[in-house]
Amino acid sequence: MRSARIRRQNGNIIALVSFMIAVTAVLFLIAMSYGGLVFMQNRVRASADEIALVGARKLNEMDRIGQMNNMVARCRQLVFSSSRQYNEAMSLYPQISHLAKDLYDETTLSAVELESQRHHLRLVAEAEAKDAMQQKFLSIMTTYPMDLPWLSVEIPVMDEFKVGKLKDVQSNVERLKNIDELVAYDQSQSYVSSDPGLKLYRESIDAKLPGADSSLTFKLASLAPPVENSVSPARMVLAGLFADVPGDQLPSATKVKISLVMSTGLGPHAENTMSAEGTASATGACPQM
Amino acid sequence: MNRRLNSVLVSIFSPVVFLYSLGALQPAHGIGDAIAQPYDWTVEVKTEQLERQFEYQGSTIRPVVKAEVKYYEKGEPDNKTDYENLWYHDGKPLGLERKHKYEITEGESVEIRVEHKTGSPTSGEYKAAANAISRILLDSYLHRCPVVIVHIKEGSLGAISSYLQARNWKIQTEEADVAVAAAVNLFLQEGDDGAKQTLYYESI
Repeated sequence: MRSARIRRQNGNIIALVSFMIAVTAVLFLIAMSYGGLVFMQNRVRASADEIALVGARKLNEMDRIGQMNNMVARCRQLVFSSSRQYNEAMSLYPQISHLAKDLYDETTLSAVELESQRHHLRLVAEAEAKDAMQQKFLSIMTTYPMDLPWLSVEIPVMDEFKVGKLKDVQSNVERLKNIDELVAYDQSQSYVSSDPGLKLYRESIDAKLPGADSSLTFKLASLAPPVENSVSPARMVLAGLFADVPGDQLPSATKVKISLVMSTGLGPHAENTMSAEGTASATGACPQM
Repeated sequence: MNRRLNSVLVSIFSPVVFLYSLGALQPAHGIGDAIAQPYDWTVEVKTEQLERQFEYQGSTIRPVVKAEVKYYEKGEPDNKTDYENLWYHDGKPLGLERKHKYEITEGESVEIRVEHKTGSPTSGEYKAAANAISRILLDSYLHRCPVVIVHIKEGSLGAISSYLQARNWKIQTEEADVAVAAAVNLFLQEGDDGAKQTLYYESI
């Protein structure tokens, strides 16, 4: 009778231990599922950041946007100066006005060509940045799918990848000085930022010249300037800082949105789509030569 | 007779006395320098082809040449003023950054001196130099400072002259006895005592 009681007790302990193991296993699997969700959420976010950063680095590769911004501002000063010289020659020294006209005419042609190059650069930079983001996404996406008993992860989808700019970042071009009329005109048109510190041309403007040259285009894009010869590196930024570029201005930031479908493999089927956004700003401008 | 002689002598010597009183005929120190260097200011143009500019697919504005323009008063080459920088592609001006106002004294004469950053300048540098010479000449003219000579680095005269001629400057030949509608002349010299050439820009 005693041995029967002992056997019954042993059986209870085995049942209890088995039950406990089962409960622990279920809890473990639930923890793994939640852990997996959190891990995946972080991974998707990191991937979005990584892809956005790759595109942002490409945008201002070799400082092409910084160089273009600077040359646009210089071309503007060249046209203004040549136009003024031509007008002065016409009124005071007609004997030399032919030379002055030739020199002025070539500057307006240069302004047109530079604008055409700026437009071309916009297409090249955007296409290369998007291609780099696409390539990066393709290299990452194949590492995602998995099918575990407790978690199933599908291939991520890149819902959106676009280029833009950051809010409130002016152009990288320091105001050009020493032609008083142009400085006064820029001031009157609010082309120069009134922020303390560096006096930079405002971002996303078409800094039109007065008078006969007002048909020429001098577009200046947003880009972080160098500070004491230090270049601002490409970096992640808050998604709220991203803005679309107006018209055909040169871009200086990227934004990526990735979504990923996940489902649980235990118990009732639950499926969820998680998405993440990554936003990055391009490498800032280099000190100009 | 004496009266006539007196009037002749007065008419000859009075201008001399007048000029002497102005100091024009006083013995000048370094008068040899003034003859060798008949200008008061030097505007120096130094060209340099820049690396890694506008390097993107389909770029049509590289290579870029930068021309730094500085000026200094005669005898003070260590006291240069950064006047402006010009940027070019294939001789076409791309941009200007004025660094300082034109503060060469009105009426004083100017020498343009062309230098290159390296010993083997590119054709783009020659073209940029030719354009910069025209621009400085016009700028100086409008500030009433005549450019009396352009000194060009040894070995560059032929190339720069030909690019100037491609820009409507014409060679003034000695035997030309025809009326030339020259608005302005350009006296080129290779180095300080090399070959010379005179170009003119037609006013019409």
